[in-house]
Amino acid sequence: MIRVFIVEDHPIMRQSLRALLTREADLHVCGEAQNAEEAMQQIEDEKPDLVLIDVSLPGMNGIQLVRTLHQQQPELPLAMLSGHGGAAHVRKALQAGACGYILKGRATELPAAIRVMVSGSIYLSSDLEPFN
Amino acid sequence: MSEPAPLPLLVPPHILLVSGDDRLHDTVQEGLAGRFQVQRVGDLDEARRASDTAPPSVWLVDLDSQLQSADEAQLESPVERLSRESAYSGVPIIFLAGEAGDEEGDSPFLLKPFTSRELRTCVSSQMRLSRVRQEMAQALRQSEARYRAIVEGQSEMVSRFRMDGALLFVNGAYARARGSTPEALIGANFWDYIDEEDHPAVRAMLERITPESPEIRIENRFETADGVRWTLWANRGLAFDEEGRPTELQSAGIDITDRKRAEEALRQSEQRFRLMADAAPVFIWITGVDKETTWLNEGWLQFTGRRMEQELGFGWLENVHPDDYEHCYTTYVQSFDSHRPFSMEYRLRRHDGQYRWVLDNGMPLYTGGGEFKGYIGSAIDIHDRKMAEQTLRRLNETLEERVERRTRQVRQLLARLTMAEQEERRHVSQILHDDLQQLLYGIEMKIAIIEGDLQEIGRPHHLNELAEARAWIGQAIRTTRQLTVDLSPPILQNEGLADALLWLSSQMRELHGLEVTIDAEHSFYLADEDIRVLLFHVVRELLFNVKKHAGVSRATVRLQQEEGHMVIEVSDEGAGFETDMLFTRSYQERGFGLFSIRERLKLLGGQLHISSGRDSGTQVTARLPVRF
Repeated sequence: MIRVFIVEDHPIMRQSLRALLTREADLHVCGEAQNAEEAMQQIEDEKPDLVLIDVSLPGMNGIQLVRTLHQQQPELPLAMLSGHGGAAHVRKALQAGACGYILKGRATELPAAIRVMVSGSIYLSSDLEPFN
Repeated sequence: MSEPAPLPLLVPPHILLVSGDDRLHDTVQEGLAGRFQVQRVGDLDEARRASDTAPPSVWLVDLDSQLQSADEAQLESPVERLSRESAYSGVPIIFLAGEAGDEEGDSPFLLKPFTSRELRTCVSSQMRLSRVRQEMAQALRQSEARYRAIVEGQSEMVSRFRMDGALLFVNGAYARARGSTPEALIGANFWDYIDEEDHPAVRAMLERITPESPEIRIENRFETADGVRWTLWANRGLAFDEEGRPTELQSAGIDITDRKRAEEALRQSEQRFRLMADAAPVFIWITGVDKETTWLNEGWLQFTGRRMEQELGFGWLENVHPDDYEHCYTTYVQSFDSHRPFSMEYRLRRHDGQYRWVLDNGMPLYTGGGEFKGYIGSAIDIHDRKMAEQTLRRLNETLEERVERRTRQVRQLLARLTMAEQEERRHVSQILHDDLQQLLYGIEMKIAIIEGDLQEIGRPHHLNELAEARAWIGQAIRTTRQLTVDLSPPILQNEGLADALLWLSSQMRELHGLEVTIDAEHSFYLADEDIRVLLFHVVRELLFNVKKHAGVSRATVRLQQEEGHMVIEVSDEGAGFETDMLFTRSYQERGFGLFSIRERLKLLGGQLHISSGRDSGTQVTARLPVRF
């Protein structure tokens, strides 16, 4: 069972993500947070296998959270979830320590993407801008 | 050895003795023997004939002989007549008198009986005396000849005349001026040649000549053959009556008509100048070489209400305002010392006590020969103009302050407007992103969940419908996502300008097919968000221009930092355009947007420079002061 922790400020998104992932037999949503501070408090206890992080969070943004968590737990897979597909965002996320960048609106990709990242690979949504 | 030169042959002096006395003849012969040659005649007629034949050196006339000629009248004594003849001929006469008391006239007498020595001494001394007289006469003649030559050679008109006017002598120059000869003018009347109008003055002047002060100069009109000429006469009294009044004068004159005419012309010129200067609506002044004012025109005097003598010298400075005095005096003196023109403004007291501003210009005066003669200057009353200028300056200052204040307000308003626009964009963008997009994402996920469920229970028709619905949701997500970033690029909020422009370049490539190269050495984090937003939109506007008008698919954006300024250059190698048409209405209507960009940059202290030409590409440079 893959334990997934969701960091997303929008309640509809949190609810939808939980509903989407819960349908998968091998995926389990072990916790949710609506901002970075809550996430950092809970992740230590929940010990997820992967953290899904929305790029746009109030206060500390998603990329900063990735950077912080990556410094604390370099082995923990961190997936950036974003509505922006710009190369600059993707580059920054990967530089901060994310192992994947998933565009919102690609719900059907998400479970497979999680499995890829937990296995140690990098996942990037197909619609992302090419970048160097 | 050569023979010595022969001695000159000495001829003894010839003595003519007029006497009928044989003993006397012997005595004379004996007394003068060896040194003189004595010729004896019996009477005066014979003596005169002998003298005509061979002039003697001395006549010895025995008064005891018959001396009276038969045909001579008894008007004068023989001694007187002989003395006169002697004086005329220059041959000395010694009268041999029988007794004392016979002497008369100036000729010497030797009383009989006399010794040979006395005779020789007397004859020798008379001969020497005669020689001296002859030499003196010769010298006098030569002196007179020289004098005459000098006088005749003079261009000056020399004359000698009596006070009654009788001319005693005139030289050639005088005679030529009269169209006559010196001889013809002797005896003519000097006064006839003096202009009648000048008679009283000339006479009065001549009468001032005294033995103690015998010279005087007179200028008067002299009537010549060529008309009336002005003449300067140097008059000298030669003879005076018992009361010391001149009776005979000598005069030397030169023609000064040309000088007089020049003086008259100058006088008339000065008169015209002063008339003009007095009538001129300016103040005119003249100084000498010693800085002291020597003349001021009527305009000055009327303005100050003072008399000429009060203003002369440095009196004019008394009218200068105490606060302007030092500046005025220093400017005047320093310019004067260096002979430089000057221009100064100062307040001058008017006759009614009001100080009025005047503008005074001074120029050094030189003669035609370059000699410094002082200064001439003119001043004008500029009080009204000065007051108007001061008022205008105050108004201008006020206006400038108001314009500056208004400009500051406009800039603040512009900044606020830019930020308000940006805020509005961000607000709309945020609504789109935070609410609408999240809802769409949620719906999209719900559809995915339902799809999964339907696949499990096998409902292909519903699955098709849902797939179509999910495609529409996907289209809505892309539209809102694009709208979100168009309205307010999220990268603009947190990143540097270069990062935002990098993002913009990707947008231009993805959405508009324009390859944009961003040339920036670093990120350029600008402190003021409104400036960052404005520059971002300026670049986006310029890139849209390239896309729409240049006809090329490539553009370059170069960012540089220069002395507190952000310099952004957007260039392409496209069609270009005529820059002089750039800000015309037709270009603005075509939507270049450059006018708006330029005005916005100007309001923030920036500039927009455009370099372009037909088929030679376009280079637009925006320069704006920024805080980093």
